[in-house]
Amino acid sequence: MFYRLFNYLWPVLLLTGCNGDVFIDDFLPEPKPIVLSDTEGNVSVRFNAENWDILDIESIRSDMFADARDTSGNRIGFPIENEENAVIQYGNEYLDLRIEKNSRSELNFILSENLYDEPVELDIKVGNQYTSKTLEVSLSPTQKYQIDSIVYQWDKFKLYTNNLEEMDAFTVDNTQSSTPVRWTVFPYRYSSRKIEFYCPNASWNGYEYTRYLGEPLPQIDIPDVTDGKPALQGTKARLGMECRNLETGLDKNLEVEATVEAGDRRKIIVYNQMEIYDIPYKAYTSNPRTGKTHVFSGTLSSSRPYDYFIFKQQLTDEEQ
Amino acid sequence: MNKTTLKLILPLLPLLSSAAHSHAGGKDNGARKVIHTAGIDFRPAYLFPTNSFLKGTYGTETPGKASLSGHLKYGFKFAPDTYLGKRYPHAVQGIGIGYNTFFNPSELGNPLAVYVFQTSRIASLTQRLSLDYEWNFGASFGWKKHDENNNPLNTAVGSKINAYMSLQLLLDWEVCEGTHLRAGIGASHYSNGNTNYPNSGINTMNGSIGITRHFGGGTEERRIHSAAQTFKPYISYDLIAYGATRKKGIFPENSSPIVVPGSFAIAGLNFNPMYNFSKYFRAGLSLDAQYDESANIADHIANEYLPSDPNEIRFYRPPFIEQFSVGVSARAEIVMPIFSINFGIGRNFIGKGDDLRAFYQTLALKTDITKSLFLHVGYQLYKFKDPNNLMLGIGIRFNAQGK
Repeated sequence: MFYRLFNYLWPVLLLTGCNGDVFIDDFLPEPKPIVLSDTEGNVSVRFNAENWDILDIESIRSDMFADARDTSGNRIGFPIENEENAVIQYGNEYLDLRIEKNSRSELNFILSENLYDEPVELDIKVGNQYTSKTLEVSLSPTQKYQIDSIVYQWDKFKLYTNNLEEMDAFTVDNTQSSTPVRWTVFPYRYSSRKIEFYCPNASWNGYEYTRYLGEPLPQIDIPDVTDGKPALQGTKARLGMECRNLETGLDKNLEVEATVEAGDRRKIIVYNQMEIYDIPYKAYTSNPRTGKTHVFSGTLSSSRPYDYFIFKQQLTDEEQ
Repeated sequence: MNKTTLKLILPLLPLLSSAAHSHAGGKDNGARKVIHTAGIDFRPAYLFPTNSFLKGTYGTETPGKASLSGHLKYGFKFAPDTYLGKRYPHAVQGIGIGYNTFFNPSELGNPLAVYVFQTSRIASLTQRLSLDYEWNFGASFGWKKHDENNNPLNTAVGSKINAYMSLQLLLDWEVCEGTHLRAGIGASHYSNGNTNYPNSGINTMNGSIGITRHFGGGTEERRIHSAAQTFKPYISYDLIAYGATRKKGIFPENSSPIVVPGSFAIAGLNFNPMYNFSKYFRAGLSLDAQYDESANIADHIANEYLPSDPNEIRFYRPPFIEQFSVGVSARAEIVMPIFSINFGIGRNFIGKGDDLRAFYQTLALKTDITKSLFLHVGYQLYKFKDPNNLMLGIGIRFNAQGK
């Protein structure tokens, strides 16, 4: 009986095969946007199947680079096939994203830092020979660095005290008068202490400072000069490439009279006598979240008025 | 149908003799249980121009409006003193072979059909003349199938082996004792049951003339009116499990139709209580569950861009509910010895997607192996026109009565 039953059943059993070749597993049915930030710096994406490769990483930014390595540390190119595990370091000086593929069904995204002030968007293309899907990744700005210490190279301190800086100039024509004329000048009205942090490796506008340290930039102690020697006395200036104008402590309303005699014609020039110094500096910074460090180095230049000088120049016939 | 058909038909042939023995129970063991018959038919036919190839649009070698077939048949009927002989005194069943020519051997071939048949009387017209029917079901071998390179115009036949089915209405004239001249008209259909593409198939309308000879059996049974057997209506329950494979074509938007490579699996289960109104007829409702691996795949194309090469197309496997359907159909069944022909029309009420939200129609041949076990060979259409799938399986009949 069973033999007979089987005899009639076998055609059916033979014919009920599956057409598995035309079906592929949907490795990622509904890709969800991935957002990485300070608080969510590690995100894993689970795949439903293993039939996917990492095809490419795309970003509208042209200054990003992907460095993919296999488990032995050898550089590999895209596509990265599913069979191999890999680590991709993506970013640049200001962006550090690590993509780890430690299994055939998972991708881990680890955002170390995004020092840009806006989110960085990138697309991870995954797929196979038939289809591809895009993982949209948004990297939110992460915490900025903070200054750990400032180190000045005291032995390279250079001081210049005999420089004059012209603050004001005007001509007084008293040739038609029979009496002297007195002009009041304010030698410190426009005076300020100028501070510059010159950095040879920074860009012209010094955006590196704000990328790392945020805005407003932090204030650091700068040296003052006492008896010709530099010393930290609590004066602070904001780090950065822009020239900083500090208060001098001099009386901006100080009035000085300049007299031009009757029948005379003079050009009155107001000078500040400047104390100028240069000193190499290093600003050690670190990211409190990641522990990564960065050092800004350059030369601090300070130009501080400490006295004035009024020069009454007699004009020659040609100059008249 | 090709190999499918072959695998289907081959078990049917030995089954006939087996079934004959299992069904032909007589009172007298020494009495003859079956009466053998042999016959020969010729059937000139008209081919319906159901596709552009058959219409001759492409300038085929012969437009193919006609065909001719010759048939040799062996059959048997149950002896008058057997249970089935009394119940179905005119039913003859057997096997036949038919040689076909479409007068276009290079593009269509000259297929040979091997089939089972059954014939019986519809009505007695005179003492020697009756109106009979005959159906044939089997496989036809030796077709020249569509081939893009070697037979590109033939878009009607997609397989070397195709299913063959035919229905004839015949006038049967007993010219002398045991010898019958039969003539009539009929219709035939050849196709592969959607197991390969193309699957337009060949449909013919034919005339038929032939001679049948009964060996033994004494006087013509037509004159024998055995005592009327009493029939008490009852309910039987058919449980059928079937499977098959099928091809699938999809019609993507803004793209040419694509024939999906490979064959998809079909599996189904029918539970069909039926009221047996008479010895010839039963009807009822059927609960039909079916899994179709190809259902709704067009909604789950995986390729980012449709490939130019159909072999490159891939799909995500649809959710189960888009491949599995449950429906209810009304069934009517003509009951004859060994064979029953079942018609159904139904609608799915479980199942998602365009491929499953549809009316379906079924036609099935049930071949009794024992009183309670039968082979099931069926075909399902959607929306009265769309070929869907074969249904090849076995069935168990609960509360079967008779011998």
